[in-house]
Amino acid sequence: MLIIVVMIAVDRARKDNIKCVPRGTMERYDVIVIGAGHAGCEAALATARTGLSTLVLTMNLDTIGQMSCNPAIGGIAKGHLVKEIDALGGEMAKAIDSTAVQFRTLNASKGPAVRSTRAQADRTLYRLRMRQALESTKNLHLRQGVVEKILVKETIKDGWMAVKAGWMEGGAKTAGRQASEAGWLADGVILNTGEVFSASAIIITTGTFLNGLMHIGTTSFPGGRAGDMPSRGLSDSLKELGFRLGRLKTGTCPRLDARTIDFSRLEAQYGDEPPKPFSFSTPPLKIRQLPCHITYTNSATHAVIADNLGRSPLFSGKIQGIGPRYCPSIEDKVVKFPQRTRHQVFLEPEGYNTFEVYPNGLSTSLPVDVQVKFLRTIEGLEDVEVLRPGYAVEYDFVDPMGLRATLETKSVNGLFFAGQINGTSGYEEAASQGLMAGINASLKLREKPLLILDRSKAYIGVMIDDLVTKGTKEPYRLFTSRAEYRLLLREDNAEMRLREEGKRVGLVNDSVYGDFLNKKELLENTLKWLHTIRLNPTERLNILLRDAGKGEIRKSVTMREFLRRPGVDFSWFSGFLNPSKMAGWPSGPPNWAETADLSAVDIEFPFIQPSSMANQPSLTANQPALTANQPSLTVPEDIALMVETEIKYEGYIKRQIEEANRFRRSEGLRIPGEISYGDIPGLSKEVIEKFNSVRPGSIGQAGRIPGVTPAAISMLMIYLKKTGFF
Amino acid sequence: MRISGPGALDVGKSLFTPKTTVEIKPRRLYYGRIKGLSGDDIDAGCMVWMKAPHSYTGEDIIELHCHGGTLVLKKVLEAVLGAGARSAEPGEFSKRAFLNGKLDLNQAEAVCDIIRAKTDAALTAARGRLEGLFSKKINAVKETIAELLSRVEAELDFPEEGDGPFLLKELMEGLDRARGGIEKLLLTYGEGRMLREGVKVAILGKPNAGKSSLLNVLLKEERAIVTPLPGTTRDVIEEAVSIKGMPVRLMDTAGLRDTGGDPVESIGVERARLGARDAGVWLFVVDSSAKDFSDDLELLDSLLKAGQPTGLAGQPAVLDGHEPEGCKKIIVVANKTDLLKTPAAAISEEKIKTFFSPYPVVLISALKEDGIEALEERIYEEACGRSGQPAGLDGQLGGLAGAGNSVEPHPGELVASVREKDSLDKALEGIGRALSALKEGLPKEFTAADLRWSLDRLGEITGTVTTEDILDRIFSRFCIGK
Repeated sequence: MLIIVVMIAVDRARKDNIKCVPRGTMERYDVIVIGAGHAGCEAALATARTGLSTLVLTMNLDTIGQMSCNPAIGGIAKGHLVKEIDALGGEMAKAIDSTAVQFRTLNASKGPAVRSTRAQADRTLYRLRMRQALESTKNLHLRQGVVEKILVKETIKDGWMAVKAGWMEGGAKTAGRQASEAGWLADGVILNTGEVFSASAIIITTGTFLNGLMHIGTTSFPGGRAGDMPSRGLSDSLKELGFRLGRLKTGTCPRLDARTIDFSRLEAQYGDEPPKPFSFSTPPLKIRQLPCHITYTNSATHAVIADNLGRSPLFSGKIQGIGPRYCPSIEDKVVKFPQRTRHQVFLEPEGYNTFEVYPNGLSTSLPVDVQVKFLRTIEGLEDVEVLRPGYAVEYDFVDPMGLRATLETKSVNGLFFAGQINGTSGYEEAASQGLMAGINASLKLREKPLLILDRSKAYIGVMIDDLVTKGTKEPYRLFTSRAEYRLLLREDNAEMRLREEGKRVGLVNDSVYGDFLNKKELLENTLKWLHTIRLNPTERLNILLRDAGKGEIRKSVTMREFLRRPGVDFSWFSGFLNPSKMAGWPSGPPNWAETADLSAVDIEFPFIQPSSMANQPSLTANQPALTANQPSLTVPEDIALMVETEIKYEGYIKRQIEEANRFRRSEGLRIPGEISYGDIPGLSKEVIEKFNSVRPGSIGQAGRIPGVTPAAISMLMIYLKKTGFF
Repeated sequence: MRISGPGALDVGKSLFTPKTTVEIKPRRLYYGRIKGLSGDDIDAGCMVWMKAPHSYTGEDIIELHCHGGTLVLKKVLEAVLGAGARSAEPGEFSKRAFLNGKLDLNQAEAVCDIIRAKTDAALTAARGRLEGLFSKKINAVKETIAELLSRVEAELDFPEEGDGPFLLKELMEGLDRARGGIEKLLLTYGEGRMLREGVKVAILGKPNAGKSSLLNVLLKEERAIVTPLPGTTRDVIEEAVSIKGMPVRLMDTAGLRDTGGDPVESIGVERARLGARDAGVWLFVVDSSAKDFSDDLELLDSLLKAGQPTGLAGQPAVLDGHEPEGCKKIIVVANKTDLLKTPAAAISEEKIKTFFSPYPVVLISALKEDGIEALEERIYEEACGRSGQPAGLDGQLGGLAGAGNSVEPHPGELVASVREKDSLDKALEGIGRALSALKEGLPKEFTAADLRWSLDRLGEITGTVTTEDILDRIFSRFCIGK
């Protein structure tokens, strides 16, 4: 069998007109990551930590891990993402835990599934912390440079067989990767300096830099972020490779000088004490937390904005890209919601060592003089000085429907996209995609099964499935309402959901994994234990209950049943039961032996009686194996929360588990990759086109494609059944 | 004769030669000759081509119009089959229309119902459904729930940005509205199902109570032999009739008595008892001129013991018999009011009603055809399961829907199938859970879960939500994947 490998590297941008990667002169890596924002950092760390030589190319080494918008990480649904990143072995949670100036739990008064952690970051510290993480990672090489072009090679259909035989240049290891499909293969990159780097996988995480165009008032100039140049050649290169590019817009707020703000008149919002960190591995934090402040726009603000709409690039038609509906500019808010007399403004501190303040809610691209003018109508900001103006940025994104659920492109093997380039917005969305792209690039090169998280498993799965199945028309942000199985996808159980996957892909080390196993065992034992222990309606217990306003018990109940009562929670319960054991937490797993003797508990607290006690008197010290598994009455807070959630909302959770199982069954009906939709009798042209552009991996995914009717799904299933696929 | 499928036009062209033109255009009626396979003339007729996707099935359809004779039809059919077509399976045109997205599940079912309709009312109902009347009702409820859900979701996802919390009172009111909407639909189930599937009505009673006369009067023909002699009817006589638009199978049975060893009559009595077990409604006929009804009551009790599964409440049995048997609906028919002396009639009526309470009593004279309309009314009501809330129904609906003097719903808006009822029941369950969760003070994400659950269930009816289970149902209904 003859192998033809054609090198394609036609470079119109460069004078020396390279046609193929000159062998021998290039530097070769396993993986090249283009961009070092939130997506790029996670991607590079994931590949390098799993042993692959990784080159990170960034336009500016000083802005690694830069937060371009507000200095905060987490929030509703985004907090969930950060916890999922942590469970999978990513960096973001740890980085923010060590650089935050404030932690808050949002929706604390609501249920466990929509509670989200948010932290205000010290922007500078976060960036340095992330750079340090990259620099201290083995196999990871940083290089400043502007990528002009992606190099790919073409291989014919029989490539796979040939590769297996080890005939191809580059050896058998290279071979396995091109595996299933022939066509284009990622090969390397050329920088604008002419340097050429070669790699087997390329991950592009260029954020808003692709063909970025910034707008302030009527002025516009090329840029990816204030102070940074855009990347233009790359955009053309992607177009040449056949990717569908679209245009989006996003905006950011002016930055203010704290010394010119009168905080004394504004409502302060403080962090939670003690602060609850993101990472499951972060020990309790002791930090000095900084407050945020809240102020509001008013009719004077709105009048200034309304008077100057003519100078707004948004309203003059200058900006073509579509902005996010959930994060409108202040001029948008004023125009679209005229009935609102005021809009909230969050004044977020930028860090410990700066006077810079981020007025969240005032994203704008009005001219600088208008920005200053409307800012000074706002209470507390009457004398404010602007340090940096707000601006809007338009940028190219690549239609994410061209991606597989692994974030590898469908048309070029070994090429991955992650982050804002896929049409998303938000640091957390970017980071989790970067992590997934990194994980899958690594798994692919290591010839291991790829990682696809489904919609019932993780928010990351919800997001990626949405992107690759439906595409996006505005910058995509995650909401909890996007998740069908929201009650199962909680922050508190992110580790339980995903740690095993993190371990499998090689990003969770043995010690962290060991801690997880202990925690899991404790959780399971506690649930079991609560089922076996009974509370008897003793006078003493009922007095306690009455005093706490919780309602007495009349007959013997299990602890599980007891916890289901409204108002009864674990901490209240263990608080009066066993105060002496509360002290040790959360320093480590409880000392089972010390608290295991339940008969002692029974004597001390006569209303507790293990149900098994009466007929199984041997359940004491002479059965150490069993007693060793009896949890203490005091369990760590995170376990207590999970236990309570599982018990209190058992009916709901069970129902969602059933639904999720049904969902997984239709996800399990895989559609073979080589199916030709045109051959299916009766499918309309429109549906065939949709199927061809998404190329769904399962019947479930096919059904989620907008515009695909249930009838079309039936035909697809009938066809697959008839042709013997299932 | 209709031919559907990608090859339909070729089949048509091979058999039909238009008289005036060579080129066949879609949506035009051509006159010409229909020829057999060997080129022999079969008939002069017309042909029309409906081009995909603008046809009932969404595929190319050819219609051949020929003369009505059996032989002509047979020959044309042979020719069509010979040209490469095959005869359609039952319901296949609708199945294709459904698969091609021309009909939703409801409408596909409605087509079946139109074909199966036995009475005018059933036909009107099916036609209304085909036009989407029922889907509209469902979508209105869906809209209410979706609106509530979106507000709850907004509060959950944007706690710092929205218009403040969704007031509990407002949310609960909205949920009540949604619940009312679903309950209102569910109340129509009995009627909708009866219209669609009909009911079996057994005429039972002692010999010579006038059962056969009643049958004849309801059928408006002399179907059963009527004599003054007790025990004239030996076998069960079954006839179809429409009562107020509802398809009814009437069964006249042998009078129930100790037959004294007459083998023919014994078999008749046994069959009467079996018939009673099958029927959803019993017309228990008594002679109103009798002095004493204790025998009748005893007989009724014994019938009930034999034919009534205990502990079941709900709907009467239906024709298909695939439903779990529910409680029998019993109407006591006091016949022969013509024999009552005028002054005694009122007293007698009162006496009979008290005696047979709680069963409803209708006084008739089969001979004089008196009170028959009231009886028919009663049969309809009982069969639809509306007897429980005769007056309360309107009041209840009025309170829920805000329409005090509620207009009779179009028959096409009634809940007619078990599938729909099942989904509506579950949707209602979800709303109920949402309400009690709110009352218990559970966080709103649980309300949201309940609402979404209800929406998904309603989506199963209008076919907009696809799940594995729905597909399974479709497959079982349309016999796909053999």
